[in-house]
Amino acid sequence: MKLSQAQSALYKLIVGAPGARADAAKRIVRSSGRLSAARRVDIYARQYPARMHESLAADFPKLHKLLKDDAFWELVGAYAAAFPSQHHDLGQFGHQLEAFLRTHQHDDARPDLADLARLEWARAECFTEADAPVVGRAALAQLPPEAFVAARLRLVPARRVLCFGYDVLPVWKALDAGRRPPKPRPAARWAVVWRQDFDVFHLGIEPDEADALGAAGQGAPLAEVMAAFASREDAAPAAFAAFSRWVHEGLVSAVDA
Amino acid sequence: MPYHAPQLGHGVGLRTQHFAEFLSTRPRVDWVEAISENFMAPGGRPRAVLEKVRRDVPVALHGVALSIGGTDPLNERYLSQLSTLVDWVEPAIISDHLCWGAHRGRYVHDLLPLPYTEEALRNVVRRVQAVQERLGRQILLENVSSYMAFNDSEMTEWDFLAEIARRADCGILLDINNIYVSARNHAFDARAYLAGIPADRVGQIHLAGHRDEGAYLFDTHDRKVCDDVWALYAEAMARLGPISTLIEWDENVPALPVLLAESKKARRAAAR
Repeated sequence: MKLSQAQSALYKLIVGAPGARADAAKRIVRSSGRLSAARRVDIYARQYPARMHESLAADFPKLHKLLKDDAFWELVGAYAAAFPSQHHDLGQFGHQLEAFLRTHQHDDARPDLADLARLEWARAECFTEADAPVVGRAALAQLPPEAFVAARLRLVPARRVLCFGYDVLPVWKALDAGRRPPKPRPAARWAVVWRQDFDVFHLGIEPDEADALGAAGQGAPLAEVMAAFASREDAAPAAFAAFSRWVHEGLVSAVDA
Repeated sequence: MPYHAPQLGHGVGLRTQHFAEFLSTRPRVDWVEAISENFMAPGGRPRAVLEKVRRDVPVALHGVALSIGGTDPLNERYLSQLSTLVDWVEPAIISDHLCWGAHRGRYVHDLLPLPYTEEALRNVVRRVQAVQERLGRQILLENVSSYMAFNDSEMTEWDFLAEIARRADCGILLDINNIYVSARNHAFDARAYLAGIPADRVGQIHLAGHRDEGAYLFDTHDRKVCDDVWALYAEAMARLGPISTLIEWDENVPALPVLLAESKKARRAAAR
């Protein structure tokens, strides 16, 4: 048998359903005195879902906690079958879990699972996103008034601005605290996720601040970023408060006058 | 041409559980081995730890996803990330496993054994040469623990590994625990394996723990090295001379002092 044929057959035996293993395994693998060919292949086949489970449980700890282990195993199996790992880094395996949960409703009682997955994947991505220096409060304070509107903020790469269809942040918080999570509540919600030093944080924000972060992230001048708050009565103070918080939380890498 | 490996002494794997200690102190270890794929991401804690550690002690990069025995084309994205990491780390040693782990772009994330055939041998040699050309230096290939053997195999595992090293002009990372595990699983003589490995190609040694499943041994890296493997290591040292030796411990990772004590034990065993 050619090498590519043997590998193709073994791949199917290892990641596929266990049903037809015996005959197919015998064609490729030798039996030993103590183990049949199928049993030998099965050693590898049992490791495969275990590794997938371990990887997803590490990146989606709250989803794991919410579903509990049996349902999470079921989810891992269905997801791995629909989206086999196509990246050399096992840590990338979960990148389509949110999409999978949106199209394959896993639990009718918890329609917020995809939003929870979105939040957890953003946190996982921020954990190893590129490092960047952060500026202190003086960087904004030292900006000459006449340069302010044209200045641009450079935000750190380890940040994500997210939009949800469910009020998922209290669910995450309850699971993190070991409390029973609230029931799913449909509601448009926004959040920013970022990393400061080695710790990842997230915070619920208003939609105008999400727009402002989006504009700042695309390099828009501060005048344009401030315009996101225009519908507020206190637009200018609200914008300055947001800029100040972004700096304080370590979201701003540089202020370009 | 023999493989010219630096003699680094006795090291341990750099694992997440010990990051804080490696950041705040300088553990008494000659060198560390980092899993290449865990440090390819551009930032965060893993990179910060490796940045500090590489200033203190030599680092070896050890990959798990090269799939050198695969029949897919070599993964260009992987090689590019590995090359970038190598340029940054300037590792003393670069290694991966003599195995395959991907098929048609899909990864099993395992170290799957190869049939020991001339076709598989040529395939590996060609790919090792391509990788070495890309990185501009030699790599080491490690023997894996295996639980299945192929109907098509035409030679022993040690002849296969030795011939790859000779033809591809690469080094060998000899995992003594993997020899022991595979010897039990496939009923061959571990000492014959050692005797069949060209000493001038061995650039590094791995030691680790395994679990006895009754019908087979399972390579777990989750416990201390067993007495039989220590005995085999002593024989390997007597035959090969001083070789950079590393304790691997990846599951149920113990406190760093426990790991360092295993490394000290290897030092004592090698000195006998």
